[in-house]
Amino acid sequence: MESFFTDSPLDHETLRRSVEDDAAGAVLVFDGTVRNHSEGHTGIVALEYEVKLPMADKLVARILEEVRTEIPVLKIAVGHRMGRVSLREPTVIIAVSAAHRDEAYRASRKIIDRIKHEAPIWKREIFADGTSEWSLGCTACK
Amino acid sequence: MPKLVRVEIRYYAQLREDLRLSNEEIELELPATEEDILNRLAQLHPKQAALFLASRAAVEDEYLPRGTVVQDLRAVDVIPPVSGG
Repeated sequence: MESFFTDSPLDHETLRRSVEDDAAGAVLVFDGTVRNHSEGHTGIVALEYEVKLPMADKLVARILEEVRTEIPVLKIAVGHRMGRVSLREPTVIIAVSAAHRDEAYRASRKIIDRIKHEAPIWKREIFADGTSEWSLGCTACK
Repeated sequence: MPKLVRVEIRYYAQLREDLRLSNEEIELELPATEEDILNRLAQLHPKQAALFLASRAAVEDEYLPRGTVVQDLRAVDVIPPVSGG
């Protein structure tokens, strides 16, 4: 599985299982979820994702390849949503297994940071009154 | 030798909606860098200039490395600031 984009809900347990490994001393699963506020905005009820495929797929695959050369991990699985995602639901899940926790934490952090900065993915914030606005992205939330 | 070529420009997300345009054909002088291309587009669409100048240009699904000079070009994807994750 390694990495994929989907219109369907992401399943934490499926991603966690896909990285299980006999040699793993750590399995770390990060869920990025929809929250009700962002920089300067409250009352968000959903996010809507636009993804430029296949560019985003290729880019995420490359990020994972590069992280593997830097950090000794066993298995990685990344799922990212497209389309509309409701409050509290996961928008991205990153599962990493490694012999030791330090590698798992570092790899997971690096993967989410690089996806946020590099992948051609955009999200629109949907508010309770039905209006929406493009997110300013990570340039605004540093 | 500089030459004028017709290039297809494709827009995404906020840029596409602000421009009300998913693609267009423009005349571009080559060779050009990513910066040259985005400056040209900012000139053509002054209301969206700031957004163009914050965007990246991609060719055949790869970001153009900053400063690289492109000799030939048929289509450019303009990637406005990303917000994945």
